[in-house]
Amino acid sequence: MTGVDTTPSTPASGAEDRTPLVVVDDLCKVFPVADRAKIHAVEHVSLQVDRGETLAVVGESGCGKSTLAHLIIRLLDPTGGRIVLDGADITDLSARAMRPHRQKMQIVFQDPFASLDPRRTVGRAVGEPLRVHKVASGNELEERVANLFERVGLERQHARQFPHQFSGGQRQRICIARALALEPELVIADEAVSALDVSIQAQVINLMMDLQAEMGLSYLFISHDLAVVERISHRVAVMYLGQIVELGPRSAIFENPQHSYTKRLLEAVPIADPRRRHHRPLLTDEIPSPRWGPGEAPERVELAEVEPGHFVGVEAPTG
Amino acid sequence: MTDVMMPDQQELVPAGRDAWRMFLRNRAAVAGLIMFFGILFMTFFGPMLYDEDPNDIVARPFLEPGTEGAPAMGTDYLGRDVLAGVINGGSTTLTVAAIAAVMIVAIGVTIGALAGFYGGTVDTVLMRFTEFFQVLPALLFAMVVVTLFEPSARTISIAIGLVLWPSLARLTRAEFLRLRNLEFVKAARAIGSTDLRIISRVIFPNALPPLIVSTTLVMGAAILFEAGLAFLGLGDPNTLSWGLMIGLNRGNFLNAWWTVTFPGLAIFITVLSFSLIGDGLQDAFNPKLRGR
Amino acid sequence: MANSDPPLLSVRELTVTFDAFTAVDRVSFDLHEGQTLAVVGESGSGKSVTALSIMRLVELGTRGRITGGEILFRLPDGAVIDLIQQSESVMRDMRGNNISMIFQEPLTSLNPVYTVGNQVAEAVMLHQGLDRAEAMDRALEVFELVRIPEARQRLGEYPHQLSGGMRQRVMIAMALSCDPTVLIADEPTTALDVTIQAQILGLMRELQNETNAAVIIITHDMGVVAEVADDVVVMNQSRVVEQGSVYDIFERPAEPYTRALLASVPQLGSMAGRDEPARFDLVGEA
Repeated sequence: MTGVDTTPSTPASGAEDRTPLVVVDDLCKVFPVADRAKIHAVEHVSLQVDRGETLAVVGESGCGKSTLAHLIIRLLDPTGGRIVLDGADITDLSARAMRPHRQKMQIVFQDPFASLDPRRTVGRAVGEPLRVHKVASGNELEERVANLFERVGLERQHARQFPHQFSGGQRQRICIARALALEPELVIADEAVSALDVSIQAQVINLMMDLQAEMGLSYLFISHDLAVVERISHRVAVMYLGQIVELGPRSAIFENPQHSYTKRLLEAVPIADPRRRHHRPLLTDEIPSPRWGPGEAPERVELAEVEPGHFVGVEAPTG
Repeated sequence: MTDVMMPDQQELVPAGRDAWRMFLRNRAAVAGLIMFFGILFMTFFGPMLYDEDPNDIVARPFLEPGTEGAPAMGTDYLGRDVLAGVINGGSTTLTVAAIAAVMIVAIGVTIGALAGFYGGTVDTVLMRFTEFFQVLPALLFAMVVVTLFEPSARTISIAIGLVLWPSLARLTRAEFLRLRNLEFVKAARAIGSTDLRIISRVIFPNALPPLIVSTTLVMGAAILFEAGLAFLGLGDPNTLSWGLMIGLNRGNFLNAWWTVTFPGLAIFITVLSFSLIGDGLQDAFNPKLRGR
Repeated sequence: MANSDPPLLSVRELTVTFDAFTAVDRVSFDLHEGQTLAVVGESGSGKSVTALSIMRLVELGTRGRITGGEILFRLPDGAVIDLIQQSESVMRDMRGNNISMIFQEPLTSLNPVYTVGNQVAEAVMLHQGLDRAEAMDRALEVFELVRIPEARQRLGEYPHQLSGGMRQRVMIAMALSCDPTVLIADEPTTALDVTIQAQILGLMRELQNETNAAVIIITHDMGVVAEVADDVVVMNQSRVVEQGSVYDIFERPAEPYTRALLASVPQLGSMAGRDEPARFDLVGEA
């Protein structure tokens, strides 16, 4: 491995198989843009997701967290690095060779309105992966779809309705049901609860946690919302400009943050308690862009393990 | 708040220098532009460089180009110089197209903007009005107008303008409908701008790119229309135009191909140039293709 | 925050309908000088329609109709007028001048074809009768007020050249350019990243101290409410559920809806000392 070994020293409970489900090693993605500039969206990212655990990836616009998700699920091809899923290297597999592996990982997107075909019943949408992978058909398929609807807290009769007949929260449940159809081991949630109202958001998060407990799912939870991440994650990776600047168990990141960016991010979160109001200096910093001109490249962040499983990007001493 | 950094991240960006750069990179569009300037040059400077009156009988009728004593493009059924006709016929055609375009834009944009901006009853009434003009058989209507009034360049332009404005009105309306709910329009209201100001200074500049493209294409259509009317004998018989030349010589096409082909080619090149320019502008204004 | 002055703005029994649907149902609240009032609710609660109604923008560009109530506004000379009764031309004079508004999407709330300086100057010229040069001077002043770095250079830039945070500063500058007494901010930080949101919230608080404008902030985010509000109006399904000081609402919520809303808000630090993820303890969840 060329990246730093970021194996957690305390694996999540409830996992019998101790080999990690996903290992991402030194992953890079560079997009060429106009004027021979490049966007270094993901830079030398190494991480792993254990069985039954939720690894959250947090960061702000342009930090590369969504690109990372798209790379892992092979919707984008990486510029460099390896992705190993359940012991198999899937980095260079063709679309056809990917197919058996696709069953093991599914993605849920932010916008439940855009991710369902308005002209198809939601039952068809949820059954589609089963049909595509020829897992079930006929009555068996219908029964499995009905079970999935019940599993995500909807009723089996709902399968006959169309997306517009559901609220945003229900639609996100349907998207989750679709993601679960092939009984995947990894579900990537790309800002999956960001568009929902808080009360609905809390319900969907509870559902995700219940499903994890029942099915032993692993989540890669991509989010910009630190308060949500604190609630749902076992471990957290903080991304900044395409690189991981801090990674560790949730309590380490939230209670003992070491990197200056992690601290800034945490301090910026508004606290729903008027007695803990921040008094912040008036800053006008901007989030720097991951766009680099010809011949330029970002400086690589080296990670150091400060306590077991807690990795922190080494910063220049003047910082 | 997704942050997939794709090169085609779409955003409202003022079309200007970027669009022009994109346009110049498009070979077909540049070819169209060169063709158009070629036609303009021929029309304005041609008569000075090739000093031949298109109405003069210069030789025997039906002299094929290349035969002895024939002008470069031969002669027509009266023995007039076809090349002189092609050079001098363009000004009528282009003038008619230009006046028609001005009319089309003026009527189409005004009606489309009001309908799209106000919506409701205003929209319903204006769109019924537009549909009325749209379902009229265009050529027939233009023929009626030209026949009722004297067939001059002005009447013909007006006739063409009257039948071709609805498409631009519909496009303008669609653009205004799309733009009127954007936040910067709300913001303009929130600072107390008047409707007129919002229509003309806030929404209109943002609707320009597709309107420019469409105007270019509609000019091509206007030229074809003018030619069509002249061909049917409804042009101004005293003013030479490409369409009139084709109309007058159409009976001789089989035995004297050059009398019809050269003015036809002139129309073809002009319409093609507008079409290529229009396509080029369309691509240049498309933010998804920009920055490649 | 008890305040004995007469209110600057008093919304009374405001009712707004969209065809058969009542989007705002008999909503009442007062706003005083220097006060920040948060109107909080989830999507469809009627909070944004309430804001647009105060600007009398709900009848323009939407099918909404104000069908009842009063919106009493105290002018700088002390006279109190009902905004609902005012003609469109009177309202035009007041918008951006006495009451101004900023919107959620800094990406789309500026006109892409004009420089940001021009757009701010435009607002000043509309109301203050200044010529373009004077208006540009004023634009520079407000750019500096909202702490835009290299303000003079920024005046000549187009919106797409600025980051989301800078664009929202430009919007705030535009809103403050005519010294309004009431500023309505509709989800002003929702589209921004968290560190930029923190900057903008800090800026808004600072500006309020400097200008003493009264602010109505429309938001769905209880964190934002806790950070900036003096008083809170909680809306749900077109109605005001509860209102009170920010401490009352957060510490002694009287209504079940408010309690449920607060329970579903993820609180940073609420998980301290726990190793495993934990479900939300939701009221009435099956």
